Formats: sequence, structure tokens, C-alpha cells
Amino acid sequence: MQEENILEARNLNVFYPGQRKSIFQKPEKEQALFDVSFDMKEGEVLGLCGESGCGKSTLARTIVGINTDYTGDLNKRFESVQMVFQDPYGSLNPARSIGWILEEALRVDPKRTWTKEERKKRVLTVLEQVELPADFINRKPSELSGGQRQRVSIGLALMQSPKLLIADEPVSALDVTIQVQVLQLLQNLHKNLGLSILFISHDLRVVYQICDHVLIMKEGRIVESGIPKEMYKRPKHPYTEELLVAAGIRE
Amino acid sequence: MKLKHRNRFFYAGLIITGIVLLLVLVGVVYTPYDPTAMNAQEKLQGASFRHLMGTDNMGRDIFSRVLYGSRITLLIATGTVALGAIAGILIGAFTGYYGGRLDEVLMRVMDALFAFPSILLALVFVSLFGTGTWQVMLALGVAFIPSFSRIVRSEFLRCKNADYVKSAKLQGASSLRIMFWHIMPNCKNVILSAILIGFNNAVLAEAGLSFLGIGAQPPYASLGKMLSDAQQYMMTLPVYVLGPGLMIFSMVIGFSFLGEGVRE
Repeated sequence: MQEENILEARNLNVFYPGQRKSIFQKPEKEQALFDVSFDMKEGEVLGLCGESGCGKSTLARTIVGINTDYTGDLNKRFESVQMVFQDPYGSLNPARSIGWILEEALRVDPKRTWTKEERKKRVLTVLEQVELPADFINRKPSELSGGQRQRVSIGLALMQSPKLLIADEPVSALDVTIQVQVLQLLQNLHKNLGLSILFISHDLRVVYQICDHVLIMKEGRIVESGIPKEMYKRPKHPYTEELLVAAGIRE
Repeated sequence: MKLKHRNRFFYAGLIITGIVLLLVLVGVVYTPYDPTAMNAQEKLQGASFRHLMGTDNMGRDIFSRVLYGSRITLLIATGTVALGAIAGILIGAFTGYYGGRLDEVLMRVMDALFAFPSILLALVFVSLFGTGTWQVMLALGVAFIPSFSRIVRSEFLRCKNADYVKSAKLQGASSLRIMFWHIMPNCKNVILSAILIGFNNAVLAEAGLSFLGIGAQPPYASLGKMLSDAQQYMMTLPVYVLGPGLMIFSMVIGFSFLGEGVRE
């Protein structure tokens, strides 16, 4: 595996607009991330851990470009970054069929134009990659289970063949048995497609299972980073220890 | 929307509206009498087999005039709703999706328009451009914009932060595409219901305006104009009022049932 960085963040400070007090005033800014720096190697699964509200999703949204208000450097080696969202019930358009949703990613693909036949073929390929039957193209999201929807969401993120996939708590909303299957799918995709995955989760056990490196975040700062196996044995930061105890990994 | 989800309201509305539309369509190709032909010998007759709804004070066949008048009323209502819905949907979509100053300014304009009585607005239009079908359509259409824009705006506000919208943005979909290809299909039930209710209000508003003498001009008549003509004969010849009144009633009740059915 190449040891080149697919993503580099240096001293990222991210802001989001606060409440606007009147229409003539500029809304006050609030800072969500403080001095975040990390490297992500190509082809690795990088875990991002922390309690809810610590800025994990803010970081994800900054990387994909939804949040644009930041200072510091963010180097993406490839422009094509896609995201899998947490809630499988909100990430698929309820008014459209699975086939339409997947095909739409190709219709709006800024990198190239796809012919109709190419689009149909690509949709079927991706459905196969996420291990769903081809006749799902005619179904509506409301006819699918949570696990199936999350597979479609992952497929949707794969449509434009991104090099980097950001998975924002992709299994938190699912049953435990389904979690295992979806995690397995992500691992397969990682292996078969050489996909780099930034895996966001609050569950350290899940992170341990699939991540090469892990970052621990607290209140908008990265407090510890390392290889999960070592970190779980000898946490350096008290907050990491706290999380490990909460997850039932350490006594 | 599947058939099994539709309820009794929907079917009742469908039947009533179907009958009304059928009558109007028949009226386009065939009316028992010429709706404008006067006949001094047969004026103010009650209902009979010769004249189903009797004749008016000029001896014109009321049934023929109701068929003809319904067409004008429906035409005005359609134009009104089309204008109000198209402009309202556009304004609602843009203000809801983009928010910010544009939203603040446009919605205050809508509030002002909403507070302005539609009858007064129509009077202003008529005094500026003269009386007639088109003027009424335009005046009512403008008055209908705020209600549509509000409904669509709130739907867009609800949808614009959904993950599927973010995902479409990430894929590279343009704002216009997101608004009209991704979000709009999610609003179709609400919009359909608003259109049906709007249709209702348009029929009533047109009848109200014609009653005041603005709108279709003699010898042609819309339903509201016929009602106003019939008013002075209400005690002596109730059937004169009944014809146009029944037609307005059927239209309104049909469309409201449909609207109610679609909303559920």
C-alpha cells in the first residue's frame, strides 16, 4: 500500500453561524473545531471517535465541503469525496425510486457525462457491490428496511467512484445484527475497491474492529491519535480511558 | 399515492366534480337553448320539461345559461389558480431554499399582499384596466400568490436540510436541480391539495366579484352574475336562484372533498 496522504488537515478552525439577532446584523460566529491537525493515508480506514457534539460531524462536513467557514489548511489529494450519512431514513429521497436516486448521481456527475446505457450498467454494478438484488431499482426507500437503505446510501456514495468515503456513524441507527453486516460490507469495499474510509463513530468497539488508525476528539479538539490496538492497551489521555471504560473495553 | 389510500371524501369529490365537469363539457358542444337568446313570451317561468331550471327575466333558458356560465367560472378559476400556483410555487421555492434577505423581503411583500383584501385588489385592477374576464383572472391570481408561496416555502424549509439534499449537493447537483427535481416531488401532495382548495376559493371569489358587477359582462354571464341578477326574483321565483346556486355549491363541495381526500 502506498504511504501517500490522501487527506491532510493542518490547524483547522471551523466556525458555524450562530443565531441572527436582527436582519440588519451579521450573525455571530461560534467555533466548533479548534486547531485540528491529522494525516490520512491512502487506502486506510481512519476512525474518528468522540461523544456526540464533540465536532465529529462538523469535521466530516468540512472535509466534504458543506461547511466552508474555516481557517487553516485542508489538502485533499482527490476532489471526489463522498459521504454516507447516519440516518438511513433521511439520506434517500422518499419521493423517488432507488434506481432514480442512484442514477441521479451519474446524471449530475461533474467529471463526465454518462450515456443512458452506461448509467444503467453502473447502477447494476453498484447494486451488486453493496449486495442488493437488481430489482431494487424499482422500489421506493419506504419499502426498504434500515439495513437495506444504508446499503443503498453506501451505493449512492460509491456511484461516482470516489477515492475517499466519509462514513458518519453509518451503523449507529441500525440493529446490532445489521450493524455487523454493514460493517462487513464496508470492509469488503475497502479491500476490493481500495477505498479510503474516514469512519466516524462513538462506539470504540466498532472502531477497533475495522480501523487502522483512530483519532479521539473532545470538545472540538483531537486529544489522542494512534493505532487502536496500542491505544486501547495504554491510553495516554484520561478522556480516552474514560471512553474505553464506557465502552466496556477497560475496567 | 395508491388507490387504497384514497378515502370516501376522495371518491365523493371525484363523483361530484366529474358530474360538474361533464355538464360543462356537454355545454361546450350543446345547450338546449342559445344562452343569450331572449324570449319575451317565456320570461320568468318556473321549472318545466321545456326549461329544466326555468327562464330568467329576459326569457333566457337558465339551464343553458348555467352550463355556459359554469364554463366561464371554471375558466376564471383555472386561470386564477394557475397564476397563483405558478408564481407562488416559484416564490416559495426560492425563498424557502435560499432563505436570508431574499426570504425576509419577499415574505414581507407576501404578507402585505395577503393583508390586502382581494375584492379591493380586484376593484383596483378593474378601475385601471376595465372590466372583463381577464382582469378578474389577473386580480384574483395575484391575490392567490401569498397562500401558495407560504405553503411551498414551509415545505422547502422542511426538506432543504434533509440528508438527501446534502448528498445531492455533494454529487454535484445544481441548486435549481435540487429544488425542482429533488425537493419538489416531495411537496406534490401538499401542492395538489392547495390547488384544489385554491380552486374552491377561486370559484367563490369569482362569484363574489361577479355578484358585485365586476367580471363577465352581459349578455354573457358567469354563475355569480346570474345569482346577482336573480336576487330580486328570489321570493317570486326561487328556482331562478337555485340553478346557479346549486352549480356553485356542487363545484365547491366537489373540490373541497377532493382536496380533503388528497391531503389524507
